[in-house]
Amino acid sequence: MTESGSVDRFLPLNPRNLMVLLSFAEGVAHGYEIKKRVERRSQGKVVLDAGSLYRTLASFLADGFIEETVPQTDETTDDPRRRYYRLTELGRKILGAEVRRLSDLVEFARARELLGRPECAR
Amino acid sequence: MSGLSQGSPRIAWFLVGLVLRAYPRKMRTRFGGEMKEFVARARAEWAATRNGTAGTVFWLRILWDLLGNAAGSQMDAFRRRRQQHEQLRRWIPVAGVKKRPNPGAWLSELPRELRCILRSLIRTPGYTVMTLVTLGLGIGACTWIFSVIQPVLLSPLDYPEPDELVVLYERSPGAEGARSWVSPLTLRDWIERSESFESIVSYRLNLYTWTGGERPRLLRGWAVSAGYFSLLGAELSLGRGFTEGEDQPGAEPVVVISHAFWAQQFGSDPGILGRTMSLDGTPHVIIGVAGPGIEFPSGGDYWIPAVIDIGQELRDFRYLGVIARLKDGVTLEAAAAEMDQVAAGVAAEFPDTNEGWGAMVRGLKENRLEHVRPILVWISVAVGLLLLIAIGNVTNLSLARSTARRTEMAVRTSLGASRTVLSRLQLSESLLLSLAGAALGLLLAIWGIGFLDRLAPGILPRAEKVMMDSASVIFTTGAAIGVGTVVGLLSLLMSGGGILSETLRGGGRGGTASLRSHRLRESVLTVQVALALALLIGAGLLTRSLLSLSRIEVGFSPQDLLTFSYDLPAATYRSPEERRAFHHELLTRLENIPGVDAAGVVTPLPMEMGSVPSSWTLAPGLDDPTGTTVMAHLRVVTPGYFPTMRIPMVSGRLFNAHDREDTEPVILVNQSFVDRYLKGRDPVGLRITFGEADAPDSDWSTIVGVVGDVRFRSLQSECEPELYLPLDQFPSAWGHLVVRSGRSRKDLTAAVVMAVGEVDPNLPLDEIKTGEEIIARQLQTTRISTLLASLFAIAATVLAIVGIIGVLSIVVALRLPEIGIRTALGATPSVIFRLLRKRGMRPVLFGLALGTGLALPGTRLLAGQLYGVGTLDPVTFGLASLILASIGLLACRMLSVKAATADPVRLLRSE
Repeated sequence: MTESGSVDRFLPLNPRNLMVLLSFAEGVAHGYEIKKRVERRSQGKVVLDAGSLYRTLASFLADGFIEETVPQTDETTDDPRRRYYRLTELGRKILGAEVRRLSDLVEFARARELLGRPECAR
Repeated sequence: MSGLSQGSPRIAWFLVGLVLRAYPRKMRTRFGGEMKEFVARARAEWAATRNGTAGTVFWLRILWDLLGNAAGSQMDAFRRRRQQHEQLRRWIPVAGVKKRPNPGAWLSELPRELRCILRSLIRTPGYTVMTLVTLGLGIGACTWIFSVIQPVLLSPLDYPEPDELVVLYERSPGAEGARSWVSPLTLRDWIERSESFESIVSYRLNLYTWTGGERPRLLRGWAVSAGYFSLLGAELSLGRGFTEGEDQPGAEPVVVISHAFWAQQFGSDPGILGRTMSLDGTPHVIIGVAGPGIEFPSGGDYWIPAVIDIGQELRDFRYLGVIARLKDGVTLEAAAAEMDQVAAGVAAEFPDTNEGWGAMVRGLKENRLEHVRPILVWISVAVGLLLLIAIGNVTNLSLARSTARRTEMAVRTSLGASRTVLSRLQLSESLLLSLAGAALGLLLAIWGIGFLDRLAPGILPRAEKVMMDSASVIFTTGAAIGVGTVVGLLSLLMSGGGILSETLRGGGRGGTASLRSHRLRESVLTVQVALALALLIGAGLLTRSLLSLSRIEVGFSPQDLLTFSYDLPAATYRSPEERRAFHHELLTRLENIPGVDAAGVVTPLPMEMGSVPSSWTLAPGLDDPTGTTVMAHLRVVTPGYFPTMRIPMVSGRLFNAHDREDTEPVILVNQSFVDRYLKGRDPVGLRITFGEADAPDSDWSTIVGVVGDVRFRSLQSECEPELYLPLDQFPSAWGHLVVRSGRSRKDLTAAVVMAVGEVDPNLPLDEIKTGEEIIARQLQTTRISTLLASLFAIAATVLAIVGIIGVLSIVVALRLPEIGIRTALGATPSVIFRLLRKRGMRPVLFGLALGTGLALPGTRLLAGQLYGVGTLDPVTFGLASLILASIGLLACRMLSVKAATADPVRLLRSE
C-alpha cells in the first residue's frame, strides 16, 4: 500500500474530527484543552462533551493520528488523571491532506463564483 | 433529580460512573479517569458561568452524551477488531484469527489451517515422530484386536437363525459344569420327550481310509443323523444332504464331501455327483458337496449318515455329539428348563446308568468360543490399557509442546485470535496426528494379523475370517477420531486458562498455570505407570505360569518319540485275527529298523484325543460283597507301549508276548486308579469286568500290575484312573504307533512309512508328530497368551519410560537455572540426582501403588489361564514394581548426570 493510499483511506474526515485534529495544530493538548480550542475555533458551534471527545480521541489513538506525550507545562496543580496528546506524523499528513482537499473544494467553489464575485471579495 | 440541581452531585457522579461502565473495557481503563476529570472541569466552568442554577440541564447533557457515545464506542471497537482481523489475514497466514461470524466459512479455512498445522509439525520432528509412533502403537493394537474379535466373537455364525442353534450334553454327576457326550438311547428318549426343539441330530468323529486318490489317505469326517444338513440350514454347493432312511442299517452308503476336499482332491469338478469314493474299502456314492460356510463341528473332509443300531447300544456308553434347533420363540433358558425335567424323567426310569445325570443346553456359538473368549477378553483389556497409556503419553507430549508454544499462542491471542479458533487449531492438530497415527496403526495391524496366523494356526475358530476389512478400517477411523478428540480436549483442558496473561506476566515460565499443568502431567504419568504395572504383572504371571507348565511331569518321556495314527479299514481287516496279525508283523518290522529302541501301539494317544470314562465293576471282596462300580478310562496297548513311552511300572508286571487271546484276560491299572479305588488293598490279583457283578467268568480280567500316571487329557488336567488292556486280547482297528529312536524325524518317518507299506501298501499313516510337538501343542495357547502379554507389557513399559523421561525433562527444564546455580556452587551430580529423584519418583511411586491396586482385582481375569501360580503372586507383583521403579530411578540418574555436566553458564543463561 502506498503512503498516499494509506492516508486517503481516512479521508474525508467528518467536521468534528477535523476540528479536533486541527486543534492539535496549536500544539500539545489535554482533553479539556482540546474542547476549549474546538469551541473557540468553531465559535461555539462545535461543542464537545466527554463522551464524544474521548470516543474521537480513542479512535485517533487507535488509528495512530495522535499519541500520548509528556506535558510540557510545569503546572504543579495539574490533575494527575490528565493526559496530553500530540499529532503523529500520520496525523499531520492526514490533517494536511484533508485541509488540501478542502482548499481544493474552496478553489473550485471560488472558480464557480460560489463565494461571491472576486471583485467583491477584493 | 434534586441532588443534581442542588450542587450535591453525588448521584450524578454515580450515574457517570455507571454509564462509563458501558464503554469498552480497554477504553474505560485508558480514559475513565481522564473523562471524569474532564467532566469535573466542565462542571466547574458551568457552575462558574451559570451560577449553579441549571445543574440538572448540565448533568443531563453530560449523561446523554456519555450514553450515546458509549454505544458508538462499542461499535467502533467492534469495527476496529474486524478491520484488524481482515488486515492480519491479508498479511499473516495465521489460521488462528477470528473471522466474521459465518458458521459455514471455517470449511473454506480448513486447507489453510491444515497447512499451518503441517508446517508447525514439520518444524518439531521429534514431537511429531514420537506422537505418531505412540498413536500408531496404541491404535494399531486396537485395530488388530478388533479385526480378530469382530469375526471370531462378534459376528454371527454363517447359518440361518444362528441363535436358534444349540448343543446338548449329558451333565455328569459331581463337579459343576462337568459334561459328557450323549448315549444314543438317552438321545432317543430326549427326542421323544422334549418339545422345545424343531429337530435334534447327532454327530460323531469318523475316520476312513480312502483308497482312490494317488495314495491311500486317512480321512477325518463326521457320521451324522439324516437331518443334519437341514437342521443347520446351510446351503450345499452341489447336490443334496441326507434323507430319512439313509441312516438306517442296510441303506446304500452315501457321502457328502466338504467344499475344501472337493476343491483339493477333485479340482472342484461340477460332475462329481454320482461318482463313488472307496472309504474303508466300501464304495460310497457322492450325493453332495457342502457349502464353504459349513464348518460344523470343525473341519473334516466328509459327512456320512450315522448308522446306529439302537438295539446294540448301552445307556452308559456316551459318545454322540448333539446339536439341535430351537423352535420359534423358545428361549435357551426355557429349553434348558424343559430338558432338566426330561433328563430327570430318564434318570428316574434308568437309575442304574443315569442317576445323577442331567442335560445341558448351550448356545452353539457360545460353546465354540468358550476356550477362546477369556484369552480374547484379556487381550482386549490389555490393548485398552495400552491405548490409555498411549493417550496419556500423547497428552503429555502435547502439553510439553504447548508449554513450549505458549509465547506463540499468546502472540496469536493478542493479535486477536479467539480462544475458539485456537482450540480448534489444537483439536485439528490432534485429529490430524491421530489419523496419521491410525494409518501407521493399520499397517501394524495388518502385520499383526499375519503374525497371529503364523503364531497360532488352528487355535482360533473361524480364523480364516480374520482379516483387514472395511469394518476394521471404519473401526480404526472411529478410534482415531475418538483418540484425537480426547487428546485434544485433554491438552486444551490442561493448558487452557490464562495463556495470555500468564505468559505475558511470567515470561512463559513458573506461573501458577505452569505449576498446575505440571501437576496434571504428573497425574497422567501416575496413571501411565499404574497401567504399565498392571500389564507387567499380567505378563509376569503368564510367564511364570508358562514356566510351571513346561516343568510339569507328563508321566512319559517326550524326547526321541515319534507317533503316527492309523485306522485299519473294516473291509480289509474283518476279523480280530487279521488285526492281531497286522500288529504283530508291523511291530516286528518296526523294532528291526536300525536305531529304533522300542515301538508300540496305543489307543488312544495321550493328549491327542479326549476319552470318556466308562464304568467297571471290581470283583466282590471281603469288605464289599457286591463288588464296587468304578469309573475309569480305557486304553488298549501292545506290550511295547510302556517301554517306548518310558512309563514306569509301579508294581506287579507289564504285559508280555504271553498275554494272548487264548490266555487269561489281564489288565493293568494306573496309580490314580489304585489311589482312588483301592486304598490299602493290593491291586495285583484283583479281578475287574466291563459288565455287571454277575458277568460270566470269561468277562473278568485280572489286574497284573500297576503303572505310573500319565497326564492324558492335557498338561493341566489331573491324572485320572485308567485301565490298560492288551491289544491281543482286545484287538482294536485303529490307534497310534509310538516309536522311540534317536534318528532324525525325517529318516525315521521314511523308515516307518516303508515298514507299514511292506505290511499293507494301502494303509495310510496320518498325524505324524514328535513327542515334543505333542507337548508344544499343549503349551501353544499359554505360549501365545504369554507372548502377547509380554509384547503388550513391553510396549506399555516403553511408553511409560517415554512418559517418565518426558515429565522429568520438564522438571529439569523448569529448574535449569537452579541447577545451574547449584552446579556453579559445586553441587555434584548426586545432589542434582536427589533433587530430581524427589520430583520424578513421586508420580512413579504413586503410580506403582495405584497399579498394584488395579492389578489386585484385575489379575482375576487371568485366573483361568494360570497354572502353578496364584493371581496374587507376590514375587511377580514385587518384581514388576521393582522393574518400573528401577527404570524411573535410571531415568532420574541419566537426566541428572546430563544436567549436572552441562555448562552452568549456559544453564543460567537459559533464564
